[in-house]
Amino acid sequence: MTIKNIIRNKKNKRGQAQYMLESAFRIGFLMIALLAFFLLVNFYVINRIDTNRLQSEMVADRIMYSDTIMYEENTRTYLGIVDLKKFDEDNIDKKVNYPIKKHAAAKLELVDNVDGQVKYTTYLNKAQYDILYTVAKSGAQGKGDATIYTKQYPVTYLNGTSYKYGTIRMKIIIPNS
Amino acid sequence: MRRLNKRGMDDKLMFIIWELVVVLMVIIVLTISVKGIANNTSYWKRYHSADLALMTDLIIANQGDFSINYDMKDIRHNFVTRAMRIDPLVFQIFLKEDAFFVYDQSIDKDRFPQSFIFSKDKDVTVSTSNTSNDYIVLYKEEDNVGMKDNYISTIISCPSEDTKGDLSTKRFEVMSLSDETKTYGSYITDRLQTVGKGYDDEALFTLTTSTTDSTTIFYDSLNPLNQVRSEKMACLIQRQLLQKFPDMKITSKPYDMSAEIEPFANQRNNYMYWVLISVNTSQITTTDLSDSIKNAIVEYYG
Repeated sequence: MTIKNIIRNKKNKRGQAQYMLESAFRIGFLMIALLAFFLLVNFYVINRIDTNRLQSEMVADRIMYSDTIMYEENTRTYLGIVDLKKFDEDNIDKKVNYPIKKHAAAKLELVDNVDGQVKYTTYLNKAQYDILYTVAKSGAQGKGDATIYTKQYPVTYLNGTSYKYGTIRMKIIIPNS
Repeated sequence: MRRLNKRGMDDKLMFIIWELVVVLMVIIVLTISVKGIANNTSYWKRYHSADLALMTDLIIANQGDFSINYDMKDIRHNFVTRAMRIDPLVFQIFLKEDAFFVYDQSIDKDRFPQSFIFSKDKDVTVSTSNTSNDYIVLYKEEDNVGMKDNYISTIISCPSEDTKGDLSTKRFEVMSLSDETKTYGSYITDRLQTVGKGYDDEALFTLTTSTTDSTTIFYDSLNPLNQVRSEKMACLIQRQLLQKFPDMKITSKPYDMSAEIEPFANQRNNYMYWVLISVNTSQITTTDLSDSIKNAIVEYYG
């Protein structure tokens, strides 16, 4: 085909319209196929790593399954027995010390099983807890938001020399960022 | 002869060419898209930094010695990535005092590392290090957490039974069951004089010659009261010897009563606990063994 022919054929409006109609269907189908491809790829390929729940579990484990608040005797830690001497913010912040305080915060309540009353309350990163709790309860969505996870552990707590049955109620807040 | 409709053919050819161009563009777009997904190192940097940091959180909280062998081999390398000539992922990992940093290839080539923090503990120190190995070992020894790139960890965890005590009241006895180990026995007796000269019959260290190229420390498996003590002492001696001879085959295991040795069977009941050391005398010297036992005793009684 010569250039001259091409120019001449361009003037053939009837032929162009005929093939344009054919092509419109093909182009439309192609666009739908492409759209489907990208949707499927984005649906099946995971590019986001959501560790919020895992982080909350880790915070809970760091507090409950370690010597952070648990009773120690002769270097042995008795998991499940809360030592009230250790149940304070300073100690918890030293034992679970995040370099970026916004990473996680938690509130711990020790409930006596006999009367069901909250006897002792302490925090991990209290200042951040107050901020994040307000944010989480505000109903805001997106990156600035935070999620509250709650956990409960039956424990024995040591008050002086007497042991009592209780429950640790933990609210852990992890920012969504 | 019938003449062909050339004008119609030209029109059709134009559209076929145009369609081919569109198809080619679509193929290029799809290839770039797939390659972009397959070559997404940010995801894997984020994945490994979060995984390692969260594991370190657990290791720090763990009581006693602990190690995790962590394989970072490129699991997504398959026929697609090979066809697209995408190199396998290689990372440089930095363990800092409170975070993991993951760089693509190396710190010199990647300006945008991914990091993830872990919580520190006032009683635990973190040894900073970095590696480009795809197989790393996270460990906790005593109150120190670190990262090594040895292929397989050989950290030995001993029973955590509290055995602290006053060494000055203890008496340790050494018994040799073979002629070759008599020299060892006298050396060890001299060394133990420096740690325990009391009157309480505490432990019996029995020596025999190994018939294989390995050294084995047997511990009491029949007496449930003393098993943990015996096992802990055997483990501590094994650990001391392995520090001196990391490539040697040194194990600890329960004593096999079927191969009972008469004088040992009578003597051991007079002591709180015992261990039987089957020594490879061609490789372990008298000084090495006596030092190892002395150090193990000091560690055992705190």
